Amino acid sequence: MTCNHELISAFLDGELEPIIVAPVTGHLLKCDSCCRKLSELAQVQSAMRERCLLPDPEGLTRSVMLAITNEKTLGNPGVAAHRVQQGSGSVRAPEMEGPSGPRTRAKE
Amino acid sequence: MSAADGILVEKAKKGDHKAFEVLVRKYQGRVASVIARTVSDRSRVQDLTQEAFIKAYRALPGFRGESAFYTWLYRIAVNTAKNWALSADRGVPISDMALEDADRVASQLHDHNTPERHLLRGELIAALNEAIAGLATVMREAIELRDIQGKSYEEIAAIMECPIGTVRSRIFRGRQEIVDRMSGYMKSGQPLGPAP
Ligand SMILES: [Zn+2]
Repeated sequence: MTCNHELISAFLDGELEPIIVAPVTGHLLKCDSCCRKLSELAQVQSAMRERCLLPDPEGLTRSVMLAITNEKTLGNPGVAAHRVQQGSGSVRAPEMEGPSGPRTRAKE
Repeated sequence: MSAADGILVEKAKKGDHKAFEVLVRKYQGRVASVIARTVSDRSRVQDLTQEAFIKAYRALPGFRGESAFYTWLYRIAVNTAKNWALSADRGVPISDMALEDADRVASQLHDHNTPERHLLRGELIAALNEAIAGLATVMREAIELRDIQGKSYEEIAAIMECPIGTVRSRIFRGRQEIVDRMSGYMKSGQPLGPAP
């Protein structure tokens, strides 16, 4: 499929019709222009919800992806010192925090 | 969980970094907003947002899709912010404190901070409000129903008495106009001016 930024906006809202979910998602994985559009539209979305803007969204995406890539390459445990190492040493998923886990509820 | 998130999570679990990048792009603003409720410093919010995504990436193999991806990510963000607030304010080693205690104490310490004051400076709020006010009424209404009131496209279509396709188009065009009007503040790849 070709670039369609209106569909990127609907993707952001989780409002794509089922039949186009896979093609739009597949396109995003290949198209840098639509990826940048996704970040722009997501910024407007969070600004509308919370009156809150990230100072440098592109920079943040780059740092996260760089950290993940480096970690894979170097096998470096790095951040996330807490909430790890239970028994087998695997990272604990938040669902496994137990009955009294976080009380705050996501608004979704 | 949205079907698209499900596809991306499955790909990311299999080592597709690009799939995880799309999830980062989709949710980083919302994760930052969550963290900014607890943490006041702008650059710290950005650092902790990064940390939350790295933790999420590491924990991804254990994510079974029992909740929506964003709900799961939201919990990681809340805990990242609260743990940081605790370690910063009280010098308590995080590993020594149960998460439920972190939850209780941190909410007493920090919840009065509004993201508005710290992340989005006055001039940005003014520019945003102006951009919103400048939209055609139907676009503004559609965006507000979606982003502020959390209505689905179907509900918005019923309220605005128009087809769902029109809702989708109004929301997209409205957002794009806001991006255009705020291009000085929101340029891709550009920091938003000097730090306050
Ligand atoms: Zn594209």
